[in-house]
Amino acid sequence: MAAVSLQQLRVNLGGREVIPGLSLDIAEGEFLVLLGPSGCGKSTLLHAVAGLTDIAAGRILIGGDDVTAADPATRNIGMVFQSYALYPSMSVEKNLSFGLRVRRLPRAEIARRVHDAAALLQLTDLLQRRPAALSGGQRQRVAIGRALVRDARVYLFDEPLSNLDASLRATLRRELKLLHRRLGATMIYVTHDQIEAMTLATRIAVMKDGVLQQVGTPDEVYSRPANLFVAGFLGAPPMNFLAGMLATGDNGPRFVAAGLDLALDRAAVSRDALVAGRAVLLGVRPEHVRLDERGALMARISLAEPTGAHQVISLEWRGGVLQALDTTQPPLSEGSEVRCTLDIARASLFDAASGTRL
Amino acid sequence: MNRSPLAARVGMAAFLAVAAAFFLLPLYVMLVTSLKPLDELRAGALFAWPLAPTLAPWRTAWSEACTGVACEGVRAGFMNSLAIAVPSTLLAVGLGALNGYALALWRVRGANWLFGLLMVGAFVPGQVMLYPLVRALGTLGLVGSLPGIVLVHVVFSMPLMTLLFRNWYASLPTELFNAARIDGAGFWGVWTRVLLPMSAPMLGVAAIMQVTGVWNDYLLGLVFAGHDFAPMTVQLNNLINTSTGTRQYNVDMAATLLTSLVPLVVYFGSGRWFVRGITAGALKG
Repeated sequence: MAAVSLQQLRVNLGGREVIPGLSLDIAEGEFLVLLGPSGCGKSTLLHAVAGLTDIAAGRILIGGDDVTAADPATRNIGMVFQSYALYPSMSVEKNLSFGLRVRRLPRAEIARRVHDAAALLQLTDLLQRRPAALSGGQRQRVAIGRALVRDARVYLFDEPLSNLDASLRATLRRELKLLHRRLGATMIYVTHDQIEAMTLATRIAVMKDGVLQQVGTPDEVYSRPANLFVAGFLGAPPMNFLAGMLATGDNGPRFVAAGLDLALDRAAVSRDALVAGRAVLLGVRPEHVRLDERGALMARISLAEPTGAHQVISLEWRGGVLQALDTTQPPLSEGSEVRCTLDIARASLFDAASGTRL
Repeated sequence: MNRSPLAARVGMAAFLAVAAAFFLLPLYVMLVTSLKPLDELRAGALFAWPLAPTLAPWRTAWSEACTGVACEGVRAGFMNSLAIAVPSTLLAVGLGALNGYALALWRVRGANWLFGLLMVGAFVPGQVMLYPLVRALGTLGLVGSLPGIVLVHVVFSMPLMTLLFRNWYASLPTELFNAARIDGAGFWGVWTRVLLPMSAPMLGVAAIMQVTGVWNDYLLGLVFAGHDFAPMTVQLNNLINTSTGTRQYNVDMAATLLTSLVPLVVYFGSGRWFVRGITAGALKG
């Protein structure tokens, strides 16, 4: 296992600049998730690390070695693909051992490693089967096993779970997390699924249009999003945005919007940014809209969407619609009037013009 | 289809029956003619079943009929055709698969240009190239030799073989190719260990097309094979044009059937496979 360093990486695909210069350092043993919408360049970035896509400029270091121009075969990486990409003409055992046979490892060593990987991934009973005779989850486990037997310096995952159904996805996600904990290997994982990113990552790198928007722990990225894009991309239901203005009050800075006047003394914002008159957006996650009988905000529940554990309610008030989580038992019904407060300490403030966090 | 009115289905069946009869009738006439003695032929009942069926014309055609000066039947031609078809097929399919693989999956500089040129080559009539090819092979001393005729067949088959395999490999998921590369396989490793074992349907189709194409060829065999390696088609022509006395229609028919036997066997034996191979690429099966 090894650290990975991407330096000023630029990638063009078909004459179009997909990644315009990206730098990222991934520490040894880290589980880094590249998160972003379709077409944001995250898979392209992963392919560049693997050596499957040519880069226009920049450097790639794996374990300190410059592999920018190296062939994929010599980079000593393991990769798991979205479509599994198992060799259809080979049994599971041959699939697992392919990379070792190509590299001419001693037969006993190959047998030992295949045996270990199969035991780790519960594939021992399936070793003689062909991929066509496996279920989707089994196929993906074989694909993971094929990467693991290689003892690679870094493991790359290209949306490995997106072809599986929801329950299988959750199971394999847990297995992957345990696997990373047990192996302590460096892993880079591409996904557009925020749940996968939040649950698996030690760090998340959020991408948009080939540019890193924010790199941080899941908690940092979720609680302190660097800009409006990150704030809106993570979280379901999404963060509420309230447009307003900064003002100065008796007890310090305030956020003023139609029908709303909130003290910002407890907000996690640097004081210097709180210039009166500045147009801002207040971002409040649905779970931080508190139902509170003494709350200043009066609203009517216009829509209730039960999810089982709780329900998502849409609160209509003078200033617009807020989404909130209702965990009360029995659940509130549509049409009822409620009062609520916004948890300013956990809210985010963004500059209205640039969209960046204050 | 099941709910189509009865009349439509009867009409369809009738049309297919007529079409089948149209194509099968000549074959039937050839077959019965080849089984009739000469005097029965003179009676002129073209469609009649032979009164006294005999295999004598087949024996004559195979080993005794005169093909020019020699009178050894089409047997020698059969062996020549075999000697030409086997290496021509193996080489053409192998090289075509290799070309298609390289063009489809490795971003070779100028690959599209090369492929375009190859396709243009496929549309130039072979006759145009005949004279330059004769001169070229003459310079190399290959005219009238087995390597010469095999080389010509392989070269002429390249556009089609390359096209078939290029499209086949382009239809396979790229991730398979990427996975093999990451697993450490190089240019040859990916091809021989991962992709060729998956190519059986296309290899079958290509081999069938090449065998029948080479076997049915007359012009190239006539020009490049020379006397010693004249294929069966050339000898058949000689046999039919060699006239000493009465025209032996029954022997001519038997010789023709013998000559077309290999393509017929290939088609009947592999027809279903042939269709499956052609559609396999489209359905990603």
